[in-house]
Amino acid sequence: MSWKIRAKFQHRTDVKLTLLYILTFFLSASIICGFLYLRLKGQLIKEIDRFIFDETEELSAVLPKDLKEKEVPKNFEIGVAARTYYPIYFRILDGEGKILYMSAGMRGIVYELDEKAMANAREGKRTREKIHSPGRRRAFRFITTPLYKEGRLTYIIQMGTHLRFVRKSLSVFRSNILAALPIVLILGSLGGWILARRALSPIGYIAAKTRDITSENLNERITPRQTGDELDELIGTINGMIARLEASFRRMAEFTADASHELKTPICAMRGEAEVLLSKSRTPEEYQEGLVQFIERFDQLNQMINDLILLSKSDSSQVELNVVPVRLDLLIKDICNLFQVLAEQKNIALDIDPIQETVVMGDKIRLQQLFTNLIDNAIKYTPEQGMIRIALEKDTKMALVKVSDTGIGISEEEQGKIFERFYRMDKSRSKETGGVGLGLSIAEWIVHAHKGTIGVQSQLDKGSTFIVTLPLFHPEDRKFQP
Amino acid sequence: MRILLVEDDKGIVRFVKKGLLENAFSVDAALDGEEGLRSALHMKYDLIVLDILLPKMDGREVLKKIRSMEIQTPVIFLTAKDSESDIIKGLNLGADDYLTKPFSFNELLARIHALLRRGKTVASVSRLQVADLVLEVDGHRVFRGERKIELTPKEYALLELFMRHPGQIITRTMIAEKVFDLHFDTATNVIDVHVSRLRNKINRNSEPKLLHTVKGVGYVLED
Repeated sequence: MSWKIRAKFQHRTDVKLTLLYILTFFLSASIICGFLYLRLKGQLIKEIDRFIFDETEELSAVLPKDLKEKEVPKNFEIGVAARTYYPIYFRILDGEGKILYMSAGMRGIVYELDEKAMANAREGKRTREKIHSPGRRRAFRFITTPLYKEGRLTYIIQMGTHLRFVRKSLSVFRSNILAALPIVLILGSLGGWILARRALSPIGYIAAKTRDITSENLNERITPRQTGDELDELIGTINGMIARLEASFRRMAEFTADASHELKTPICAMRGEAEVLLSKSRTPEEYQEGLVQFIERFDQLNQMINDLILLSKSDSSQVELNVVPVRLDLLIKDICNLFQVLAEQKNIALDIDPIQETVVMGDKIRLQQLFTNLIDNAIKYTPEQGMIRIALEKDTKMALVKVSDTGIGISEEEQGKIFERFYRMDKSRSKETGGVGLGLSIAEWIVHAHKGTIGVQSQLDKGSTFIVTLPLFHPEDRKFQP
Repeated sequence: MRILLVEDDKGIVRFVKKGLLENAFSVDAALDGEEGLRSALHMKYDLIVLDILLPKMDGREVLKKIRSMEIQTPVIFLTAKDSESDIIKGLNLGADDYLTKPFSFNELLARIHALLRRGKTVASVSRLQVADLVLEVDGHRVFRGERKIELTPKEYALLELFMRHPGQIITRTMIAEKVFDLHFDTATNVIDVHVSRLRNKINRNSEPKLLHTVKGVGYVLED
């Protein structure tokens, strides 16, 4: 799979994905472990606290009203101070904070009764503290419990034990995690790598296949994997694109063939005429006649080349429309006036239905060209004594222009093709009417460039109606971009 | 009348020079922009024909420099690109007219004549006359000798165009642009029909025949 080698290692998608997996994995594992650690710590301390509560309860139960005799705490101390794992240290203070009794182990611990604990005691609340005594390595847990008898604060018991085993448990837990985390990370990144490779492998296939498709073999397609997932969708999209490319390549090839044919014919005729003219000596009038024909043919050729240039520019959206508000009604009237003489020559009645003021956004020259093409066609294809009607209507959004004639009509089958380039309805008949079949293509392009529509309704030998819609000008949408 | 032609295509230079010489102009040709600019700055010309795509210096650049030196010689642009923005840009720079390639020589000649005349015609002529054909500009009336000729507004505009340029060839393109305000090439013969109707009206029962066809080119009003 050469597509993988091309990209730099750190830019490869699978590497990136894996790194992302690892990072995510590491972060979530750290968060979970940290949380567990804190929970465990809290639980262990709570356990210790409960243990101290129990002992405090025991002591307070046996404590007499008046602590003259030190027998009771001494006996208690004998019971608890010698414990191997959790030796209990305690002292008993009176309501004022004066020490009444202190266990032997307690003497080595520097631990002052602070204001806060005292204040809590007066309110009847316990105070839990973690004590680091100077000179002692281990931390201690102490709980200060006030004892009330007959509504009076009689004693304050401070009792505690060291946290050695809590620390030990926590450090074991910590080292377990530190040992496990790298293993989990390695396994996770391996899994991530495999997943990333699996997910991306079809992309390599798609890339390789797509690269192999050139203008030579546009008929080929990428075979979908039949999984129906996003990548199949991607394959479908690419196939659709290739199909559109293929169609446009084919259209272009046909267009080039048609265009070269249409260009060759008049050039051939021009050359032939010149050759015949030169083949023997002739009168100046004959030369003149020949040259005039030459110019006329040249003009036709030039017209066609201009049309072709316009169309090819429109394909690549190079034609700039100079879009301004245009009085469509006046524009159509002017063109009708222009063509009235042609219609009269053929005894065709060219009428405009009464029309109201209509303003569209458009390029005036292109719109003139559009309606010139349509009306000129109508006159060409309508026999003598015929009729052409032009109507302009509008609704709230669109202006609608209908150019109807009583001409030869267009068969249903041909109606779909007349907008194609170089399409001529009846090749033999249109020679005499001139034109090479680009007029309607240009008309269609102009309409589409104006965000309008063009269509035709026709019946053979009855006539045709071309219907053009163009968006009306609304003073507020000056931002119109064709 | 002296004309400077700045154009790099030798074929075009050849026929334009030949044609203009035959029409009693004297012509200097420059083959690139820098040479053209030099000539324009050192010699006094009545008109400059300037191509846009030129080697060494763009035609627009040449025009800009000429105008910045306060030389107001009329300039006709030649352009192969018929995109509107090009034309508008050229006119904004101070060109007086433009022609798109391929152009007809007579079209160029007609425009040269029109530009050279522009400064000279008295702004308001109330009466135009060719032979016994009279056009009264104020009253919008046309007479051939004693006979009053009824014209449609478009025919009147068409006749006025001819009457203002007697003896000059008026091309179809000029008619389309000036009379019908159509700025694209049409393959139709509608212009010819308009002219022939006008011709019928002014020549009916009258001698000499005044409006003549110049084959392959256009029309001319003369006796």
